[in-house]
Amino acid sequence: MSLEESFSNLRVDHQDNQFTAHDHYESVNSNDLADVTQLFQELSDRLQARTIIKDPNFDLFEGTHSLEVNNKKLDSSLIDLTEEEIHFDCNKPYGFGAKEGEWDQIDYVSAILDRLMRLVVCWLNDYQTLPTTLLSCKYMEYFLQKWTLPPLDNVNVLNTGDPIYDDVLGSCITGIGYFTKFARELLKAGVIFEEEDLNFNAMGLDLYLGLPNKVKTLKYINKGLETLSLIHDDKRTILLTNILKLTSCLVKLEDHILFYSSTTQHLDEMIDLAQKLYDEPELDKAYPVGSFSMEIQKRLANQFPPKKLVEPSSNYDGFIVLANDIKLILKIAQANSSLEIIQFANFFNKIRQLHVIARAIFSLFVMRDDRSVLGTFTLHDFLQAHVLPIANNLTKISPQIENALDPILQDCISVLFEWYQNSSQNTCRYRQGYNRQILLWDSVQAQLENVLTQLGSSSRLVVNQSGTAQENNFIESYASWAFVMKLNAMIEFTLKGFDLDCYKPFESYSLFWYVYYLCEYLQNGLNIIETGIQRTISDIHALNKRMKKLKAGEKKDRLRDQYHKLMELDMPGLQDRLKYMQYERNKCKITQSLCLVEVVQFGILASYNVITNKNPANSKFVNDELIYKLRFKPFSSIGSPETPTFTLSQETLQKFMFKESEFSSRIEESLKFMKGQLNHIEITIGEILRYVESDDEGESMMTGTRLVKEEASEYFTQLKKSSELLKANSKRIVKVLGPKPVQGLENKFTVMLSTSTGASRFFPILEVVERKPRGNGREI
Amino acid sequence: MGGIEYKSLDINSIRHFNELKKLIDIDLSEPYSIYVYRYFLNQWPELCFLAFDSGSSDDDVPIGCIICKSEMHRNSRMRGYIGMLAVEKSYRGRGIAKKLVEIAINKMIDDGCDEIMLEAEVENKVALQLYEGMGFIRMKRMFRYYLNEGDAFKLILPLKDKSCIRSTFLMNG
Repeated sequence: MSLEESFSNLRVDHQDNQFTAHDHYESVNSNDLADVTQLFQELSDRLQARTIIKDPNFDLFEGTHSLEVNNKKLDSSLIDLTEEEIHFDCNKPYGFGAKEGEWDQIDYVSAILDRLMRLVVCWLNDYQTLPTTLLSCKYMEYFLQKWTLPPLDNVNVLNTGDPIYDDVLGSCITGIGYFTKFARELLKAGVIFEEEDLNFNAMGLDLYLGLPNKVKTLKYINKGLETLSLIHDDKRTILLTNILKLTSCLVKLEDHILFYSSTTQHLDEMIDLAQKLYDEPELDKAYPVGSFSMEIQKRLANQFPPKKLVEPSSNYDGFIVLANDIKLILKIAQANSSLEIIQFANFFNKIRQLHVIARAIFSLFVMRDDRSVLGTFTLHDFLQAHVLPIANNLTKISPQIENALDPILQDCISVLFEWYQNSSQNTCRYRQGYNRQILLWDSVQAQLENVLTQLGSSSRLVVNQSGTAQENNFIESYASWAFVMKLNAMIEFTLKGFDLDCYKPFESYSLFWYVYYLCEYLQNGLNIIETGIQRTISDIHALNKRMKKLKAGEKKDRLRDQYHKLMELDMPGLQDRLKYMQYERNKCKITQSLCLVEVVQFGILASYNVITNKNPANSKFVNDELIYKLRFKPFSSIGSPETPTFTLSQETLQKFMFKESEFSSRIEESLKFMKGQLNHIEITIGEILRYVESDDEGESMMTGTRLVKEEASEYFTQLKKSSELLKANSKRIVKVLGPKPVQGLENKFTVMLSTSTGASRFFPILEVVERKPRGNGREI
Repeated sequence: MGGIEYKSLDINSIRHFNELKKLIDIDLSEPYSIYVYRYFLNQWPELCFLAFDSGSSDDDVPIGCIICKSEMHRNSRMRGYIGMLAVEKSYRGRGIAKKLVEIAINKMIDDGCDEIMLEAEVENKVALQLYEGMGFIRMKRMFRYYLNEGDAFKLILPLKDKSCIRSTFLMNG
């Protein structure tokens, strides 16, 4: 037997310094084992003091996850276990023939399953690990172990002889096991991330070979329910009945990605059951000693340091969050237009990070295995549907051009899918996703414009000038779309940094000013698109005039048919697109004005000398220009819009600052200006809110937010609150710092970025605070 | 207490190795294996600095240390990295951590680093204040980065223009 083969078969444990072979390895003949002592000694003799033995792929990240034998913090084999934990027997009906002080079986099973269900919430909602939650349950481990082998004829893994254990506990564990398999499938699909979004350290127990299928699992749970129905009705059987029903709701969740089911009956049931369980007083019964322990961490393939068990709180409401978030996701199936799909992705996960299972379902529900979107769009149709809301006309193009464009349109599809997938990511990944997308959108825009140039068009982002060819029109629509998507990605990335607390107050000027600047471009882009749409509308109306001038005849009839067809088929869509453009322009204006007020307030604070746009750190390593460039690194390669230089950013601030001599008049002017801007913002937000809340009832705007009404309302309501706070801050600045700057203010006051409940975290307030005396707090 | 002396690590000193490991293990939320220490110290001993109290009864026991590395990042820029920093509790508030960071940064500058990077827990206000006070900025936030489930910031101190260009373009260039 080769050394490698010997190693692959070798598995030994040690106890009291005695090494022993276990399980089937006990049958290993000593002739099959290789003595490597001498080999190791020879190799170690040749080692230099500085030699690190490692696989070439083993980097620092791997290193920080490495374990260490005999280190209590890192060696799970050193976990101390009690006798009860070691000898816990899953096939013993604890409670039967009880020792003094033990509960009866139903008490124990209630306590076990109650804890287990609450651990499901800890695992998913609180992002805890599997070994410290579900796998800490001996029954869960026992079942998973059994399922590593092919299916048994009988779904019942337990053999205690007591139906409370065998049917009730057994079926619940099977249901939860089934659900964990579903969660693993979500992870494997790559739409959420192992560790940060969901821990699935199953310690090698995730084969699920013997796991019964869904029908059998649900049948088994029903058997458990039948068993309970035969027992005298008391609070324990009610609890267990609710837990079993809740488990069957969890088992059904896979239907949303296997069959793309959008039914919500089981989710409503889950909410109802979770509420009942949440309202129940906590059980006063204990689970059998040893039924939950750290034992699995000690015994099985554990690549992580020992970790204490999670103590679940009364958290059944976590299932309500799960069910409500999935219900929200499934609403996308009701989308009536591409705009509603876009707006859904824009808002559903924007302010509050949704439950991890819901976020994962979203991606798989929208982008399906059959390479369709929501089961109705092909990839190309979906792409076109996105361009449609902002395009003036998407006419057919020649096959040659279509072929030439195909690779670029494939790139468009890829980046569009990335955009969708990003919308469901956790809050930190969301920002990083935009960081990547900036380059991708820039690349597709550049490719499209390149084709335009080759076609001989001199226009950049100018839609359909004086009857240019249909090809130009088509490509320009896509280029406009890519440009708008790029700008939105740049704005979202920058503002999300405020939400994630990534910026210091001194940086806020250049960042808000930059977003203001991007909004200027976005506004121009949207205007051009709008002009294009209006031109198309005018062209259709012009047909009518031309028709009227013609004499009756075949030509006039043809033109009349064409006109009626366009009026019937194209005009409503064009009108909707104009209304949507109005919404986009309003939204952009709100962002731009909020940024403008932020920079004006920064200018005032800088005039009081309580802040500068330079790093206040007193260190020789500080280089303001480099810091600025590093902050703007994500945009450094973007040609349009050009990234403002450090010098330009410095110069612009000067324009917002006042000299001492003009302070009084300028500050009054600024306060008035800001008030005007903010009043206008609040009116515009009010208008948008009215449209959001009325499902776009009205003539001037279309938000497309019907399916995410609450989320969109909350977003704009938060912006309104931020506007009000900015207004209050204008007054407060003057109140705290006085009518004009006096010497020493910088020593007394500083500025921090603050956010308030109900306000937008994308627009924190530059709040003046008194400096605290030094020396407080922990130091290193 | 006497003056504080700063020295680079003597890789052959097992005592210093064990002491600095002890110093760090006490404070870190993340338990590190001996491999992690050896990974840094054996490969970049010149980027590990220790602080000693010359007035202490045992002036050979480090009371503070910083452990760093520097290597090519994505084949595009030389990146210094601060892996660990610790000062014994009774010596805190005397600027020892700041001095250790300064010494390490200076060494990494001399070695030609384009930037210096580190991660810090979002809740570790003291560490953030220290590094931001030296010119580091928060580049990104990482969700549930640590085993204790906390988020982290990735902080970078730019030293050269190369730090401010995306790796993709440096590699292509």
